[in-house]
Amino acid sequence: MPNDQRPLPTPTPETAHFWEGCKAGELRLQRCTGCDGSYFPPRPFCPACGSRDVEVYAASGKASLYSYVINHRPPPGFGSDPYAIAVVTLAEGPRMMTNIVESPQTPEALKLDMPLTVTFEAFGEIALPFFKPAGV
Amino acid sequence: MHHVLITHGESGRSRVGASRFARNMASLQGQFEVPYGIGGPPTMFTIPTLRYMQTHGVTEEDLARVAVVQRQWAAMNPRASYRDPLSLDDVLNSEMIAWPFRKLMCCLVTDGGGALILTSAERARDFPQKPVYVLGTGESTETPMISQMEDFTSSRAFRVSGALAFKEAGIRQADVDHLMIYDAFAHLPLYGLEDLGFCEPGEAKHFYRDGLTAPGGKLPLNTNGGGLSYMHSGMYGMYALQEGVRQMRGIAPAQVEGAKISVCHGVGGMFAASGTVIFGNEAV
Amino acid sequence: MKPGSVAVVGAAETTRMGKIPELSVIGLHADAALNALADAGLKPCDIDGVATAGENPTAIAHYLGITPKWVDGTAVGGCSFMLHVRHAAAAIASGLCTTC
Repeated sequence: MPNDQRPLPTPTPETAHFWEGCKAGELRLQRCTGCDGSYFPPRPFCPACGSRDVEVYAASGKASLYSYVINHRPPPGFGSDPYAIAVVTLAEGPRMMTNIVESPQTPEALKLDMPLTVTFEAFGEIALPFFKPAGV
Repeated sequence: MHHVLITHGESGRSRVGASRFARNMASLQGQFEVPYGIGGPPTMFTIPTLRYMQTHGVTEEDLARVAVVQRQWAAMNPRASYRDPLSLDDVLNSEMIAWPFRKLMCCLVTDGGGALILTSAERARDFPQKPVYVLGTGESTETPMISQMEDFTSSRAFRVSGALAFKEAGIRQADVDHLMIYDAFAHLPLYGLEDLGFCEPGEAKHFYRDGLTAPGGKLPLNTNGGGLSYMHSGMYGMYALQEGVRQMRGIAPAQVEGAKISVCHGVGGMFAASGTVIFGNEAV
Repeated sequence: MKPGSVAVVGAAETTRMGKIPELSVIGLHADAALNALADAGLKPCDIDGVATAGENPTAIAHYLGITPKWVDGTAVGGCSFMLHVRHAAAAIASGLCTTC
């Protein structure tokens, strides 16, 4: 992994900014101008206060590893080696699911709370945000 | 309205007349989870567990212990899919599915169905079976995406649903004689015990280390063998309710002597939803 | 709902459990439903409320020959049936039906 057989997201109008950002090498989040909270996944309103006054911004790309499993039964398109399915906590607060790249896919290498940085991988028209160990 | 029928049926294993699961890559899960290689519940439902384990010093043995205890209950259930005793080593050496989860920590895949009929307590007096009263219920949801669960060490939907049910029934945890916690995977009873208030966060492992939930223990839990050993067709909640009803009627294969209150707690999706029903067998 | 104002009077699982290749999904619903009806001493025409998940409640009501006055297809996964009990209890306790 990664390989080019995986199912790819179909962007919707509300998520277009996110996927355009990934293509441009930028992890984009939204925040509410009223209550100042960042949130994910994308929505055209703030889920904390309901305000429609929200803005898109470029996140730092820094995250830490919150939890994961190492999948030993890859579905079609994900090769044959075990790989981690991870959830990371972005520095800005929200969490997202991802894969960890440039690292062995083992419990020894993947320590909870380890610092990570975003990196993008192109799959045709879509770029996916993965995370690699910070400093790699 | 007089008589309500609730039905369930699922050809989880044989797939006879079952619709194919249609994946929608434009849904939120399609965009933000599917591309990272999730492949069914064993790769999603299990993701919070490592954080729970490391936060509370819960080990792979503790997960294995849940499977071992539920097999002890299944041994007493003639309709259970698997009844032979399991050792910790059997579980810890079973095939790796999604580390840290091994095959024997994951639910079965079977066929099955169940149905309930409810009516008012007044009408219930005229029926052939001893009525099983609904003392309290709860429901809630959290998120359809496991990655968006607020706290990986606790289920908000469990806490909200459980609290509603206990409050409505007007009971405390010490009043509970029999407990069912939907066990699609070995970590769920641990989360359920904590989120339903039977113990403090992180303490559920002791219920298994000290044999409290096993045959002979003071809090019989998943007495039919559960999703890990009895049956699991994809949606298991109806079977937790069925065992709760049997225990209240006094006819369960592994009957808890003198049980008066049964709590049946379920999960939907990957910690996405929860429902709780508290049964009693004494007229109120 | 006042605790204890609603009761389960019929409860059953499918005749067989585990491997049941001779029944389709709707057949499994029906087998369990018929067993629960027998347990309660009722016939399908005695039922006036239907709740289910995994199948459409319209399909279940039709298959069993039921004319419902209350319908619930809440489908939130495996715990849907707990929600059905909760919703049914609320409906029964509030006396939703006005005719016998």
